[in-house]
Amino acid sequence: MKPSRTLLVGLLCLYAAKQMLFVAWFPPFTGHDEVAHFAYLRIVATEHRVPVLMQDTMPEDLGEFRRFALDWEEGAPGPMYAANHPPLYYAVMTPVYWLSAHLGPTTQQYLLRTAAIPFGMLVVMLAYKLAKAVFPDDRFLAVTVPAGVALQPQISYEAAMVNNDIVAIAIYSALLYVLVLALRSGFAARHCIGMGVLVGVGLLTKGTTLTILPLLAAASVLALGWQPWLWMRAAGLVAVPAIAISGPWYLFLYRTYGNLSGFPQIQQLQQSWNFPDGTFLELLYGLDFATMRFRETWGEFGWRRLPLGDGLLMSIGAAILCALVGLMIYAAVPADRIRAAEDPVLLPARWQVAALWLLTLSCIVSYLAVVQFGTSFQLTQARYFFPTVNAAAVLLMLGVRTLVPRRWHYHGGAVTVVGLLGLHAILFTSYIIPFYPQW
Amino acid sequence: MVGRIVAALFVFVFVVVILHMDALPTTGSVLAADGQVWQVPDTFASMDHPFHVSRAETLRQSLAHGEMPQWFADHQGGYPVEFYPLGVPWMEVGLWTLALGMWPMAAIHKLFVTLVFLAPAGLFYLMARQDGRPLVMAWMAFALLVLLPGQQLQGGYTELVYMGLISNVAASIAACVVLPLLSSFVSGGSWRVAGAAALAAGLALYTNPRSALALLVIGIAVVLVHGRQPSTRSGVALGHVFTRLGAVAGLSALIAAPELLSLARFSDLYYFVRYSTYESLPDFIRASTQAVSLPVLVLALGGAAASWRLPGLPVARTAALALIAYVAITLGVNSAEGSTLLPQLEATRLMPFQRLLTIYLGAFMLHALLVRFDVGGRVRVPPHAGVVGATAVLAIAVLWPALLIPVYHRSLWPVESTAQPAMVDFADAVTRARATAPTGTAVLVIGTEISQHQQLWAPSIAAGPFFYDDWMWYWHASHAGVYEPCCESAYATRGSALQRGYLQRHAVGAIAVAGDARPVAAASPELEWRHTGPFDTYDVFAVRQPTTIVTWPGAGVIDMVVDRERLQARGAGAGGPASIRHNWHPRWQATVNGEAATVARTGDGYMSVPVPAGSVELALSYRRDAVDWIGLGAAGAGWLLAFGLCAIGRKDSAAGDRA
Repeated sequence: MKPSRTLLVGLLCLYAAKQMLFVAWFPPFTGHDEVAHFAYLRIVATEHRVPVLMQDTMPEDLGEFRRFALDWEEGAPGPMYAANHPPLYYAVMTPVYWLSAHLGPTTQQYLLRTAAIPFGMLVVMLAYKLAKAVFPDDRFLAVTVPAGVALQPQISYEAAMVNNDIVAIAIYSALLYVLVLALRSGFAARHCIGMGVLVGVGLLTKGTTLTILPLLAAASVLALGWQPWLWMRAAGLVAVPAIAISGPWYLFLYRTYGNLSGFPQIQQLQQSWNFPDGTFLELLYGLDFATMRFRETWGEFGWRRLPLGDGLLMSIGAAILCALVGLMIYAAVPADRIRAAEDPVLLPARWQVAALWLLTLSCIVSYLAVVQFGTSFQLTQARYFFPTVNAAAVLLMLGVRTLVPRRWHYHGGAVTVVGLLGLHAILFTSYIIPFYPQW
Repeated sequence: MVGRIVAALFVFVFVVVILHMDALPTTGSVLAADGQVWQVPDTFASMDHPFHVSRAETLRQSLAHGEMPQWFADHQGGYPVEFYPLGVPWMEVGLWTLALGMWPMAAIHKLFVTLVFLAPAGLFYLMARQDGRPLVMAWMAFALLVLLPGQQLQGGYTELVYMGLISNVAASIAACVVLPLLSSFVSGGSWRVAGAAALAAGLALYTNPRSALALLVIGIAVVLVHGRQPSTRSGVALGHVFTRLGAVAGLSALIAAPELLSLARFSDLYYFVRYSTYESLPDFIRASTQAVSLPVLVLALGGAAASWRLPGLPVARTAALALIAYVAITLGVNSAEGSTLLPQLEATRLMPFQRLLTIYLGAFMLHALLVRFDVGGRVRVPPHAGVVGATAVLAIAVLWPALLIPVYHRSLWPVESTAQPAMVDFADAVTRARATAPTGTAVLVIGTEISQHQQLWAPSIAAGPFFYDDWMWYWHASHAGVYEPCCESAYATRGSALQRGYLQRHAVGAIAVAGDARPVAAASPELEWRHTGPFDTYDVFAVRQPTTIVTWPGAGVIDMVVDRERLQARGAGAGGPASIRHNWHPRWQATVNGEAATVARTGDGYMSVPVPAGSVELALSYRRDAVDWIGLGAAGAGWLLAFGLCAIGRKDSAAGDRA
């Protein structure tokens, strides 16, 4: 086994253990929308149908957790505001629900949280695969990219709760990986079909998967050059399985709500308090908006209940800024031949350049999607950016790699991983554990 | 060809800015209900602009009378010029002279503000040229500067054009100009460049002494960048570096000598209200981001680092080090609030220089990324496509901001103008109030109808001492009135300035009043209505039985002359202390009946001189002493020497300096 793969196995073991802590330490149903997703799952598992907005309501036996749900006042039925989500996650979790049906909702919820951990592990593995796909021979990235994803606290949090987010993140991560393979292969048919299946499955998990579409278009142009006929062929190969898999769901949405998202109905449910903060450009330029998304990316556990301190956030921000600086240096400073011969990462092939652009584009599109969502919904959140976490990790770790002299890459990688572990230690000792009584 | 296109882009931005700011001196017409038309200067009316126009106009009038002003008598009891130095007024008077006096100072001020806003174009050109970067990079920096308005104290359009803090911004630009010049001089040895650097540094110091911090960090950065590195033995010998730095520092100190000497001598008399502070490090980071936007800040950090990985780039490297040092100093100054170290420095006002460096480094990084722009794969990007694309986006943003920038983030928005009825009324009221006030009394202006400080236009309209209910800036904390000297320069209630005690204490003879204080004034038994303006926004009142600026026990003063730097009173008295309701300063000298007399400072910051019983002739004059004359002489020598170097300086051989 290659050393980096050995490290990956170790990392996955560590990750699984850490995730169990996340599962156990957060009180039941405190994760964002856990109550709503659990209620959705119960309808799928017991009534063999998907819930409908404006018709279905929250189950009364979960009333003690109403403070973790939106718009659920005491004495009134709580709206099933997660009902417009696609059904795949709930279908996958239904066997777990059936097997644990006799245990009661709280215990069931812990088991369902645990069932999310494999999807988190899948994301970590795909981070490793993506790093190896872009820079096949680089150990620094092969270690630090999956470590960065595994030790990102909010991604970890997603992979320890009852929520379809982590499955959507895993599918999006797989799409990014296959996209890079397709870029290298010139959009081979198998990759196109694979991406089509993943897009279909992704759309059947969460609507955020739609943000992959501009990337697919850009990748086909980069991989195939100016050949519209080949673009159309690739588009067809992707579209057919994607539509075949996700089409029925969108037909259901259209028949049920008269639209393809259910968002107008959600807006109607939230009309008493949903006042978006501005237009697309206003949010895009808004420093407060960006700052809040940054806070949510690292803290704000629960429904923005547990914020991180300014000092910790500034330290994280400084580290990210350093990585971005490194990335800019990587892009702007040409490598001389001698250094490039020693370190191939410094002189990427054209397909690698295209892959890095796609990863960058992925981050940009995902953030713009968060902004766009914010123009309709006040409760837009950073987690809608999370599907692109693997792309962000590759780019940031490439930046870190640029700043660390080559002879210190081994130590630099170790310091990076230890730093991320330290972040978790701080999170648990200074925030998550002390906050427990306040939930 | 490319150079011409970029030059055309500079012209394009200049034209857009000049049109948006309506920069060319004009007058506006104001039409009254009865059909009468008034012509008033059409200039910036917001925030601090009135103060600066009045100072320039006062300077112009002093010069017209053959005087070199040392004391401004018209502002809340008067202040010495060194406490708000005359760098900007001198430049505005210079521009007025170049315009052959055809336009009023208010209109010249607008043109000058526009020129200051455009000046960084030249600065960025100098910096990019020194770094061997193409002209388009300088244009990108300039376009970013124009597009990013910043906030109130952040050096952009908002601070300069809306807030009117022109001294701060102009001084920051002058200080930043020193960076490429000093870098060039230290590395190349051209004394012509040294002369230019000294002129810029002297101007920066004389315009705003807090520029000394910026100059200090530039000096440190130049030493670190150009000084010989022990490891590589490259660079200029440290001896040469320090000699050259010393020459420029010395020459600029000569140029700014009147200011520096006065501040050194009288700094204990100076007081500045710290209006704002950075509450925490995140607060500073937030302000730094707002000043230039998050993308430009991130690019600048990348630029600061990349400048050390790319060959050449002496200015970018110097800017990077200067930026780091400046941020450290800003945070140090901020944390020193309340201590005796630099008590008069408000850290938030240091942002403009930081902003200029950040924008340059951001543009540098942006350009460095764009020249290597390639999307990879099978798509071949034409050379320079990235630069051309970014240039096009920036040009569109300048020309058509609504397309790309939300309204509250746009620059070049229209600022309130003086061409409005309230200004007609104001000029009318101030003129009539001055005519109403008996000789030897001051005029009190209360309220504002335009922006925050309309009162401060008064000295540009009529001569003589003025008091205001909101005086924007002041230099000591003893002024008598209902306000908190620690944190404001305005009376808590406007009515408090209409009380008998206040009017007597400050020798107010007439009042021009606007806004919610008008009914209070109308109801006051101390005041007598005299006039209401044609647009019914200002009233003029005479003070019943006013007190004059100079009084003494007994029969009193029968004749008085109040000039800019001279007070004379004649009369008979019973002996005792004469009260002079004008601010004390050690430079005031008094004679009583031809004999020198001691001038004492009273508790409210005014003066007191003992006078004998019987006939009294009291004269006070604000006089330069020997040190002041030395300072003036040094400044003259400094200017001559610097201009001489610029004119006749020749390049030394740089080879001899190099290892």
